[in-house]
Amino acid sequence: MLLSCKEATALIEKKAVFPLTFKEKCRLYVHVKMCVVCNLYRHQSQTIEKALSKWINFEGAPEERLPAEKKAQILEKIKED
Amino acid sequence: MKNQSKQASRQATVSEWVAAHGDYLFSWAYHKTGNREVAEDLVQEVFLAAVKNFEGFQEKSSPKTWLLKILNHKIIDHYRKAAKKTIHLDDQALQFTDSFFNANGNWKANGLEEAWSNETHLLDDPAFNDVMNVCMEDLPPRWRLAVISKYIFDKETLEICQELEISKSNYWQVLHRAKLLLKKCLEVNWFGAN
Repeated sequence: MLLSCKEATALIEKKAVFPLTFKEKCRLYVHVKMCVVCNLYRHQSQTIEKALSKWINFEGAPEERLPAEKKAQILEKIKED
Repeated sequence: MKNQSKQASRQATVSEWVAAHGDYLFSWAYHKTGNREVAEDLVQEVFLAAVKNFEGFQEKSSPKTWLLKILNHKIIDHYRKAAKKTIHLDDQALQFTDSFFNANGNWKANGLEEAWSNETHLLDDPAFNDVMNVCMEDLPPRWRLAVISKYIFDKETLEICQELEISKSNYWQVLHRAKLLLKKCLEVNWFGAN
């Protein structure tokens, strides 16, 4: 049984978080060997992964300011506690 | 009397932290939630929780690290609540990502397959960050939660699944769909547009 691209890309993502079974590994290997688009997807997925890690870690994001009124409100609430 | 002064000194310490780390925590929360009001409320909750659970703070970690850890849990909680209310968005997004494939489950050509070839510099482009904001915003909350938690929690994947209350297979399936949607969004808003 050959994998469809939908199944193959799902396994590519599974592989990033969990180990694949031997059967899954073989089927994915065969599919990616034959399928140019899924082979590209593998690289794209890694690029997105890098972009995500960068985005989440805040690199390049502008610094925002907690509004002064909110700061004052928080300080008030801390005293009330 | 002694307890009172202890409480007062905690309050004083956390108040100093508001001044020192308030902007940073707010920036972080705003960046992750895309909503100023939500971010303000989360930051407030963090500082109140800090007073309440002051014993949990150990001098060996910096206040900033500790506060950020509390904030990350609040952000996850926020998404968890949002996810419960937006299950219909999962279905819509599921159908949409299904539409990238034909009836046999193979890719439909979109002409942008090769557009990713000059991807090496994109991570250094500040404008790319804006596109990422848009694309993360487009993910249904439950999917965003799965994607974010992988990076926010310094935990094993299995622990993340427990944290999110989903099964292993559900977790990677959601990550797969989220990745498909992000790919599409980046192709439309970045690779296709450039």
